Amino acid sequence: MFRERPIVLTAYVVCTIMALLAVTPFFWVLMTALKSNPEINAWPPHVFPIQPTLEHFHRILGEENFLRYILNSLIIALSSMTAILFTSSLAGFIFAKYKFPGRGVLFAIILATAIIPLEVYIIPLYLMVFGVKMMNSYLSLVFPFVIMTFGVFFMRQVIMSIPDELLEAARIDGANEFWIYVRVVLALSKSGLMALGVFAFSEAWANFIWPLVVVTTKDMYTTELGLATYQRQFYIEYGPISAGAVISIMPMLIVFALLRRHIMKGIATSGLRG
Amino acid sequence: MIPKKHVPDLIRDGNRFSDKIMREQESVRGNLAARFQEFRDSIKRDHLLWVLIALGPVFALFCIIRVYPILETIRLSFYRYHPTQRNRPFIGFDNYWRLLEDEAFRTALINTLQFCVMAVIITLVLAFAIAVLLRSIEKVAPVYELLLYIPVVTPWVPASVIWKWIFDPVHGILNYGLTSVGLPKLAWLQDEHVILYAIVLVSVWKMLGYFVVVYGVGLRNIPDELLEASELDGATPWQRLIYVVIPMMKPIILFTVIIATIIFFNVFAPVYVLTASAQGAPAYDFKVVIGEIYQNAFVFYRMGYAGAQSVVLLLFVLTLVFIQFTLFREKR
Amino acid sequence: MVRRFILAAACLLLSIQLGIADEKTKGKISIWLGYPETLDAFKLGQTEFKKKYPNVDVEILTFELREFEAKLAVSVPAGSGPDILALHDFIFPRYYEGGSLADMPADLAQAVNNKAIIDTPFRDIVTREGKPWGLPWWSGRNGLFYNLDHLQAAGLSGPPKSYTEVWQYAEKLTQKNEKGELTRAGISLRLTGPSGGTQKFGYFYYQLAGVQMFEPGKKPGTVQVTIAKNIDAAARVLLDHVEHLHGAKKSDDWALKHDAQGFASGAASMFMRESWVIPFVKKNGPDVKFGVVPVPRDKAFGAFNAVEVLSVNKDSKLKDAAWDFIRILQDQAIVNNVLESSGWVPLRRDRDYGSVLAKEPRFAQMTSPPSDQVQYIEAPNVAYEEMTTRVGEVIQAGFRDASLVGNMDGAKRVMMRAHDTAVKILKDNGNYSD
Repeated sequence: MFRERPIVLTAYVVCTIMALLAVTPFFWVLMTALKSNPEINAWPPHVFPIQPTLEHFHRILGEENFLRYILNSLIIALSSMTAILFTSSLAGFIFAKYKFPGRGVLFAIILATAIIPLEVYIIPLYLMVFGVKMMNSYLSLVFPFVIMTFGVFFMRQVIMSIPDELLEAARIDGANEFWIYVRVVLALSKSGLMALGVFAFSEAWANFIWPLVVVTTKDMYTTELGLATYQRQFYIEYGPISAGAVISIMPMLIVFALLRRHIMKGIATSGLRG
Repeated sequence: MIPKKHVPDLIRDGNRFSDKIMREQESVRGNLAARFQEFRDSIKRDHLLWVLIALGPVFALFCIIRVYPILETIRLSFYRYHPTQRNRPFIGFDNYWRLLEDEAFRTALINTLQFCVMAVIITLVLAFAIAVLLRSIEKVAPVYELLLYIPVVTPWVPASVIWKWIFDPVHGILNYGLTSVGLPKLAWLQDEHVILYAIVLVSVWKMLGYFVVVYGVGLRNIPDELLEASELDGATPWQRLIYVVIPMMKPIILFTVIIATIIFFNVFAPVYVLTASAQGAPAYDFKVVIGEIYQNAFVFYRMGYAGAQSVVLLLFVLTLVFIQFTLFREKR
Repeated sequence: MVRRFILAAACLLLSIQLGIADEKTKGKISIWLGYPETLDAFKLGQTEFKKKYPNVDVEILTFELREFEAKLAVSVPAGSGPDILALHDFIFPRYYEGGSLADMPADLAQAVNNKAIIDTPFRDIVTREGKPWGLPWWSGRNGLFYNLDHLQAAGLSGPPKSYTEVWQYAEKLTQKNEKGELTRAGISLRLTGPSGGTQKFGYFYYQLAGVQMFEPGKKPGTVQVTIAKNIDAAARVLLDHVEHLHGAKKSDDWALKHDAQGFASGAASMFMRESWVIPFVKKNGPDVKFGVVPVPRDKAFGAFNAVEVLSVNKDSKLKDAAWDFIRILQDQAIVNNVLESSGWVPLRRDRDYGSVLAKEPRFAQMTSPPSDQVQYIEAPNVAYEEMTTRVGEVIQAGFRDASLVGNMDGAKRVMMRAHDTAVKILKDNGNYSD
């Protein structure tokens, strides 16, 4: 964009500093997780552990049942992701490719809920779950996250770019609408689906306030909730806490590493339409 | 498998098909039975049944999970509501009058507004600057974008935990950095004035990458000819930025301002984690709006009152979004 | 037929008496704990229980205290709570009034009513119209903990004996570095966490005022606020805190590690807390040579007691088995474990704690408090959480206000605000008493 020399130089310097600042805290937490307790509290602080140890990881996985928390988070995130992909693509398809009375109104209602954050209406959601005595179950944990307004909007954008003629041709050949949905629409919006899937997965994984409110026993904690509660305990030890943080981050980092192109593409598609 | 046909063939077939239908229709006009047939055909053609079956359940879910709860929050705010007590009287606007005198909530509102304004401005300005700079080193830009995006995919809770240790007043590396250049240690999370900056720092660190990528997409879509033309006209880089780049980025900037505002106004997880006072390591109780709602609803079980607070939150969010919309529209 | 039935019933009764296993009872009992330190004791109980009820599973879940209280409050009325309710003294009334407690078996009720087994103040918590509804199990009695080495190095011959001396000693024990920053707190005060902060402020307040800030009111379930009538005492305590947090007499700082953790790491020379600190410091700060004495007196002399009561959930499907578990928990071996590993003081006076005291004589302060010390218990209060949080916020904000140094009027104003805050919340909840 700007080819002038001083700007290019500034770009390298500034961006490198910012990138380092972005990444250093992760390095630090990993180092802390591998240090023994005396080293953690050493002053001046050691950068690398002189005698690295895995005791904190053993502790947090063993004593604290963290593996169970990770399993819970996985189940919830995968369920939510699947539900959101299904509902968003179906609704997006309908809004993109069909005319029907009230289409504008319905879409506007759905869109209007997009800017309203979950926290505003979390109380009635809680009372609904409380009323049917479904607290502390996987179903209640996934319940608010089976739909995503942004998902509908996003899939609609993606599907609008599929040429109508393809759908018409399939109809002429005698295909029913559901077949078109599965074989044509889904097949052609794979990358959009992947982007949305990653987004839905990470939103469900990272969600904090809903599990905080709905979970009553430790065996149903999600990773986020488990870590937040663990570090609020009476006695705060940063060794195990850092190990817990490292473990909490790993799944999302792995997903990111594998699917980063789709993630970036997803942002591109959604970011374009303000 | 989709039948393999050329597009011109498809169009020709489609046209032939619709021509045929129109001829048939003319011959049955005016006939009631035929008009009914027409209606049924149109349903089939518009696939209204399919629309109903496909969209119906999804829209129903929306109503149950989004629309009803939003309306119910508003309704609850006029009651005194405890989940296990049977007495739930209607009390009109009492909750709202109480809100006006509630010092804790007032503090939370002020804190949240201060935090939101700071975080939005710093994050977006910084992200925009970085995105612009990255366009000058486009070949390596993806690497930088990737690194900056790692905090974005990290959930709030572990991110806050990581920073909590960095902020530790006795052992943390930030204070180590300060002392090694001769500055006094800061009580990052314990001092009532500093903690705001600490939370802003964590939030900016976390969300920066996302906006860098969004702005990057927008910037890449600016046609090169425009920039080259202005360069030929003798415009300096700064002028090109102000008069070409920014105007073209207006819609995206509006989008990011709205998204950033909503994200930061609803800050909760980092505050919960950073200010959680493990009794051994105290932190200043920095109040934010969602924190107050959570405490009133799920610790004190004053759900009607918390409902009123939620309505206030909703009004604030809607107002902020509306203001931003009009501000950006006017500038045109 | 009838004879066979009687024979079977007699065998069952006999088998229970003889401790022969009850194989008929099947199912699961669940126990929720807000104090995870007692988990070991429960696990011991579980082993014994298994011998008696091989077909009953025992599920024990532990929570952080405030979460425990919150989860319990919604689960029990909804019918999804635990079988055994381990209730804190000030939330016990809520469950009694909610009709969530099962009747006590005769032998346990008799034990509670027996002064030789359970002391009167503790019996009163659980008794309504002469009938007990729970077994008072242990009490967390508070004391002043002090670091022997620090005291010796500062030239002090022993722990402070009066309220005034506490502050004087704190000043002598504080250490600062060249820049004037605190490196060691003479006394670690409770500066954050408003709900508990109100309680810990009360440790000092009681010695001056002779009453708690919140006493039981005229009608059962109501609460009186005593701050206004004892405003001088209240302001004095606030001023002492403020003057030792700002200025020349500064003895504590928000940036230091606090409480048991601070004490165990040597960052604090003294602090006041309940008896669980004893095993905690031995485990987490093994180099710390410490002593414990009753909270130093002023005009009055009182000890805070946090009492844990064991009751059975009325909705429990295995009530008899649950009460049996509670009986097992009264065994000498288990109460010894409670004392030794968690530091909470079991309330059964008909048990001999000699073996534990022989190993850890410091427990004697807790198991046998001075006879002129008043054992006080917090007033039951449906709005406990909200009231203590809001009052604590006022008090702890006062601590941060340096302008209050030497300002008795300002301190009185702050404490009156605390008073008014409490009154407002109590009136709103309908349990205010004047």
